[in-house]
Formats: sequence, structure tokens, C-alpha cells
Amino acid sequence: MIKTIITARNLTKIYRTMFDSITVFENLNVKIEEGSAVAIIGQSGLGKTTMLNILSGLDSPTSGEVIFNDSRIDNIDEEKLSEFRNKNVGFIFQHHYLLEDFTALDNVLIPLRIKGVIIDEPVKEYARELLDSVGLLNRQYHYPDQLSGGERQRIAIVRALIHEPLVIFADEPTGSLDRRNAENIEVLIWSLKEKFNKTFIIATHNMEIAAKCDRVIDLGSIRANSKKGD
Amino acid sequence: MDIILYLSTKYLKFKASERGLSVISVIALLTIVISCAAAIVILSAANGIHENFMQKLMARDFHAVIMGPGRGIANYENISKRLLKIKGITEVFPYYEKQALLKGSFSVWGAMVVGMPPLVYENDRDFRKQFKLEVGDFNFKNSKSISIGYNLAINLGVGIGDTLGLMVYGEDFIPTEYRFRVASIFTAGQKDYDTSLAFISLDDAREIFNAGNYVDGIRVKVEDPYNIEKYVPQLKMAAPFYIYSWKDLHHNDLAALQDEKMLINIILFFFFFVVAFNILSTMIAMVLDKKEEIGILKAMGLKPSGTQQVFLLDGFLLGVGGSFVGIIAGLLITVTLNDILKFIEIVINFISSSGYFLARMILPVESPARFQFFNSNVYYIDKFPIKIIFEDIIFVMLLSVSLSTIAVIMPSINASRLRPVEVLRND
Repeated sequence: MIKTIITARNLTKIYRTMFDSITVFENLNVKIEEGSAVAIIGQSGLGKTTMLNILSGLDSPTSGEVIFNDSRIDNIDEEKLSEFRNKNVGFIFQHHYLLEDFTALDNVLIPLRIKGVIIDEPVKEYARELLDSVGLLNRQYHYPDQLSGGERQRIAIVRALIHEPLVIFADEPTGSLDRRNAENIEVLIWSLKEKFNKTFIIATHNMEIAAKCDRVIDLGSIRANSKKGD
Repeated sequence: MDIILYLSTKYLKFKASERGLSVISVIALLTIVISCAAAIVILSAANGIHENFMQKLMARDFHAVIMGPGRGIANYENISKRLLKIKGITEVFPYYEKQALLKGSFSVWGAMVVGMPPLVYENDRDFRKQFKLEVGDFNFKNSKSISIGYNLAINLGVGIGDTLGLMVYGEDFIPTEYRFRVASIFTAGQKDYDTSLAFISLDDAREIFNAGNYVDGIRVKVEDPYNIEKYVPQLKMAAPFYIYSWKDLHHNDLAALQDEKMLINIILFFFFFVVAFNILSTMIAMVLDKKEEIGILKAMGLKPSGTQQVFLLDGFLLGVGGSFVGIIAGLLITVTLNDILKFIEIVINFISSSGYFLARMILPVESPARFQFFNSNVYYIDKFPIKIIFEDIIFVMLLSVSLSTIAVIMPSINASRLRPVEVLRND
């Protein structure tokens, strides 16, 4: 039997300003199975990123609960949530978000350092192997501003994987790349998914990526259905 | 390496665009270095001036004075022997002093005439240092020899080897004149001493002032004059008379010195307060500059407490590094201060004399006076007095490190409160 890694019940997210409030989604229920690849699709503004942030523990819902690997994460304090993210979650953002003052190798090692892993030669060797697997071993001592957009994104993918998280959250991972680089990254994601057998949750506009996923959550149709229900 | 230390040192060291020491760090570090160096120079110079002043205070009255009631102390020789047996008492000088009139070639001046043991000048280094001989020999082995202050000699119109009249008034107010030969002329660096002080031998003083077996008192020197209080109980045991330490005798002067030192410390505190604000603004700028990175690190699991510690450690490291370099620089400047001042004097004099030679070709100008920071004729010192006190170094170090650490509390809290989701969303 396949284990459910994330369960979200009655998720509601409302952004409140001084004069207004915007409901992004309401009473959303989501279940994600371990090892699956799930695409979250929908037009801009429907809350793909917000949902990704809530499921990954980066943001909290206005109401509802998120159970990650049998533990609730929507009601824990920021210290514990940070620890949770470091242990269980890897992020690939639309923008690479590499640390500018760190080399490619140092960037890749950051999640392990946060985890408290002693960075000795075997650990560095493992990081180099991963860099090699994305074809960037020769770039290990280069800084982000010395790398191309596609190279930066590949390093960000390695960084998301190195600490062996349970789930990789990817927010428009090819969104800022040209077509060729986007295709390369896409291929890389699927090969790594195959290799590491991790759960991937990908928010995307790219229907080709969505088509390759095991499941698609279409926020547009969920909203339409809930309106019908009203 | 621990993530906190790793990130702290990284933030201080690198800036992607420069691949070197971060400009932000350099500015913060230089501020601390300069302020610590300046603080060390200021404190050491103030200590030097204070010590110089205190040594002047101690020179005439020594470290403690034992005074007898009425006519003075009779069996002073036995008491002196008892005093010398006390641990830490280095020298004792019985004395007799009285106001008298001195009659020179063309005028009469009042002076305090002090009778001292003949070997005081030979035996006491501080006394020699305070009363510098301009001419002659401080030698009272020959009876009726006198040593007088420089200004007094000018006022009286006497020089070395001349005789002057020392007029002593008895109880009947009829003056008796004794002839004394001027054996030496001294300068003390204090106008009142140079104008109204004269030394003769103790035996001569007792004779002309009709003191019999008495002396006015006994002046005492100790090993540790700055802690004179600890000797007082034993002094009282050995000599049960009135005992005045140099601190008692110059209470007002010392209180003024204490106030001055306090003022310097307050000024330094505000000085470092400004430095702390500089570090505060620097660290706020650093947090703003690193906002995106903080967001990413927190998304990857860096805890809020860890984020705060990174910046607190940055402030601490800046304080420690800056104060260490600053204190070393301050000490180097302090020990070479007189050479630096001399060099500046040479440069200024070279410029002014060069200007004079050029100007003289066109205009009939007067030659400029030689520039001196300390004209020994005016200040009675030919170099700046300096004293480095270990406690001051610790004080500067602690002040700098604690204020630079306190200064980063607010920016570090701001950094720890940054929500990654907001930073990344805004970006």
C-alpha cells in the first residue's frame, strides 16, 4: 500500500489587508502519495505558489490542517518548522536563489551545514558526485555570477536534493529559463526523480511537465467546482 | 564548522562583487579600530599627565608627613629608626620649615625655608627629579649653604656663590640676620616653588629657628605611594603623632584629577556610543543587503534563533577584531607619541622656515619662532608624559566588544523575524 506523505484538510488561505481581504482558496483537501510526482496547475493568481508554500511549511494556512508524514505542521512554532523544513523538504524556485557569496560547491553544501553535518572530505565528495551528475563538476568553485541561468538552476536542483529530503517542492522550475535550458532542466528533474525516487510537487504553467506527472491538481477546476457547489 | 560561525565569517569576509573583504565590514571595522586606538592614546596621555602631576605633589611632601604637636617631634632620630623598620618604608627625612625673609643684592623676599637632611638630594631620586638643579650643587655639608628657586634667585638678584641674608623673626619680633651662601639654584616646574622655596640643612634650620632638639616632622617615603593608606596604621604605631598622607595633603587636587578621569571615561563612553550607532547602521544595511539570502537560508531550515546568532556573532567578531587591532595600533602610537610629535615639529618647522626664506626674497619678514609642542620653558616638560595602564586596555576592549555586540541586537532580531515566504514573494 502506498503511504500518504502529505494530507491537507479544509485548507483556506485568506490574505487580509487594512481595507480588503482576498480569499486564495477555501476548504481545499489534498492528499499526496509518497514517491509520486504531482503537478499543481492553474492560472496566475489561483494560489499555486501559496499552496506549495503551505504544504512545504513555508507559510501557514488561515484555517485547516496540514499533516506531513503523520505530523501536523500548520500549528508548530517557527523554530520547529525550520527544523522540519531542513529535514524533510527541498526547494527549487523559479529563480535559482543561490547565495551570491558562495561557490557552487558551498551552495550545494548549505542544507547539510544547516542540518549540522560535519563537512569533511567524503561529504564534499558526495556533493561533487551530485554536481557531476548534472554536468557541473568543473564549475564547483565558480560563484553564481560566473554561471549561466541554466547552470545556476541545475545547482539549485542539486542543493534541493543533497540532504535527502522526503519531498521536493518546485515552483515553476523552468519559468525563468529559455526554451532549450527549460527542456534540459525538465529532463534533469525527471531523471533525478527516477534516480532518487522522491516525491515531487511541482507548481507549473508548463503542460508538458504536468502531463508527465502522476497526478495533476488543477486549482482552476477546483475553484470552478466549489463555485458550482455554492 | 558550525553553520553560525560559517555564515558569520562569510558575511564579514566576502561580497560577491568584490571577492574580498566586504566594504560594509571594513567600514565597521575601521570605525572600531580608530576609536580604540584613539581611546588608548587619550587614556595613556591622561594617565601620564596625571602621574606627572601626582609626582609633583609627592615631591615636596613625600608620601606621608608625620607632624608632632606644639614644637614638633623631639626624639626624631629614634622614631626615624623605628619607622625604617616597617616593611615598605624606604626613606625617612626629618625636616624643619618656617617662613623667613631673604635679603638679596637689591630686594627682600619672603620664602618658605625648609631644613632637610644634607643627603636628601643624593638619596632621593624623586626629589632630584622634581628640583632640577640649574646651577650649583645641592650640598649642605658646608654649614650655612642654601639652595633657592630660580625665580627667587632672579628676584633677589643673587647667583651661585653669592651670599644672602636670611632674616628670622623671634618671639620679640626683632629680626636676626644669618648669612647664607647660595650653593645651588633649582627649577621645580611650579611657579610657587620656584618663587618662594629655599632649602637649607636640617641642622642650620634648627639652629637659626631656635628649634632645640625638635623637628617639625618627619617625611616618609614608601614603596607603593598610590596605596599609602595601607601603611598608615603601622606608621601610627611607630610614630603616635599626626599623620598626613600625600593624598590627605592634596585632597582637592586629587579630587579634581578623579573628576577629570571620570569625565574622560564619560566622553569615551559617548565616543563608543557613536561607534555603536555606526555599527548598528552598518548591520542594518547588512541585514537589508542579505535579506534575500536570509530568506533562502530560513527556507532551507536555518532557525530564527540561528539567524539571530549569525548577526550577533558578526557584531562580536567585529568588536573583538576591531578592538584588538585598534588597541595594538593605539599602543604603538602611544609608545612612539613623542617621536611622532617630534617629527611633526620638524615638518612644521621645515615648512615655516622654507616659507620664511621664500618670503624674505620679497618682503622684509621676521624669522618665525621655532615651533614646539612642549616648550620646556613654559611647560617644564620636554616630552609628553605617557602611562599605559593594563586596566584601561581591558576597559577599552570590553567597552568596544560589548557595545558592538549590543548594537547588533536589533538588526539580528530583525533578521530572525524575516519570514522567508514574504522575502521570496516580494523578490
